[in-house]
Amino acid sequence: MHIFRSAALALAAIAGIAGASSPAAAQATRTWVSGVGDDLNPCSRTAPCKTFAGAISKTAASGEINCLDPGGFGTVTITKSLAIVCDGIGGSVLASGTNGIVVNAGPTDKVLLSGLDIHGGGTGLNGVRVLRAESVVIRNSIIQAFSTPGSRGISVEGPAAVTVAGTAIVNNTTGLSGQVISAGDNLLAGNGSDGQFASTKASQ
Amino acid sequence: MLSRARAGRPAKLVALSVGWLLLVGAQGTGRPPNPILYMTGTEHYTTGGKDWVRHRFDVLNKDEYPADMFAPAPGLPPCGSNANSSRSWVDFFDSRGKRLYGFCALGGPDMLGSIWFATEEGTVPPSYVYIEINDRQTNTKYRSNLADTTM
Repeated sequence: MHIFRSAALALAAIAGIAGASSPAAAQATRTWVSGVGDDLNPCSRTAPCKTFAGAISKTAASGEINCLDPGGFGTVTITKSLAIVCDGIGGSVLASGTNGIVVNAGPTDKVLLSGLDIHGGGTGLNGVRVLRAESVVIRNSIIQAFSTPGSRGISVEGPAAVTVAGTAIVNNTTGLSGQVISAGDNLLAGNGSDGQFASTKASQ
Repeated sequence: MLSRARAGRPAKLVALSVGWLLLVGAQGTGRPPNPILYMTGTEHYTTGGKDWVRHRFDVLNKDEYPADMFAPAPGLPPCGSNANSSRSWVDFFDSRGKRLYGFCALGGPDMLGSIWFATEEGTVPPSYVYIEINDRQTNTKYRSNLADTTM
C-alpha cells in the first residue's frame, strides 16, 4: 500500500513538472505583421506574422499589432481590447464577400484601428462592423468599395462608442450606419448614401 | 586594347550560342516546367451547416502543360470510386508539407486556373501553400513555388 502511495505521489510529481514545463501560449503586448511574415511565427519584430487574424491570438489583451511593411493582412474579428496601428505603412485588409474588421469585444474593451486601408473589392459586406465594445476609434484610414446592396463602410450594430477621425469613407453602398461620432477631418464621398455622423466632437 | 576587345567578341558569341543551345535543349526534353502558383481570391460559402472560406488559386504557366497529362486514365488506380480519374493529380500542401486538399479529376490544364482549398470561417489558413502535380503515368512530381494566402 505504502509502495502504491509512493508511486502515485511520484507520478503526480512528474505530471506536475511536465505540466509546469509545457510551453505556455505566451502573448506579447506588441506584435508585428509583415507581407513576408508567416503565421507560424511568434509575431515578433524579427519573426513577424502574416495576418492580423494570425497575430491576434499572440497579442495580449490591451496590446497592439503593428505593420512592418505594406501588405494585405486579411480580415479579422477582434474580441478584446486591442490596437491595430499601421500609420505610415499601409496596412491593407481586402474583404471580398465578407466583413473587413468585426469588433465583438467585451463591454469594457477599447479598440483602436489606425492607418488601415479596408477594401471591399466591390463585394465586401461591411468595412468595419461593430457589434460590441466600450469604445472603438477609427483614425487615419480608408474604408472603400463595400458596394453590394446593403453593404456599409462602417456599421454599428450594438453598444459601443464609435469615433472616427481623419478617415475617408468612400465608394460604399452606405457610408455610415448606426451611431458614429465624428472627431473631424473625415471624408464621406462617392457612397450611394453617405449616412450621417451622430455628432461631432473635438479632434482626438 | 582595341584588338583585345575584338578578340573577345568571338568568345562571347560562342558563349551566347552555347547558352542558347542549352536553353533549347532543356525545352526540348519535353518536361513541363514546375507550376507557378498564385492566389486569385477568396469566396465565402456555407455547407453542412458551417461557414467556409474557399481560397482560390491559378497556375500562371498552365498553358505549358500538355492536355494528355490530365486525360482520363482508367488504367491507373482509381480516385475513390472514380475509376476514370485523370492521369495527373493535383494536391495542395502547407509550407510544412501537410496535405490540405486535392483534385484527382481535373479535365485539362486550363482547370489549373480554378483550383482551391477551403478552411472553416474563423480559422487562420496557412500563410503559404504549394501544389504538387503528380503525373502518375511517368511517376513525375511537379512542385510549385510557395504562394501567399492573403491579398
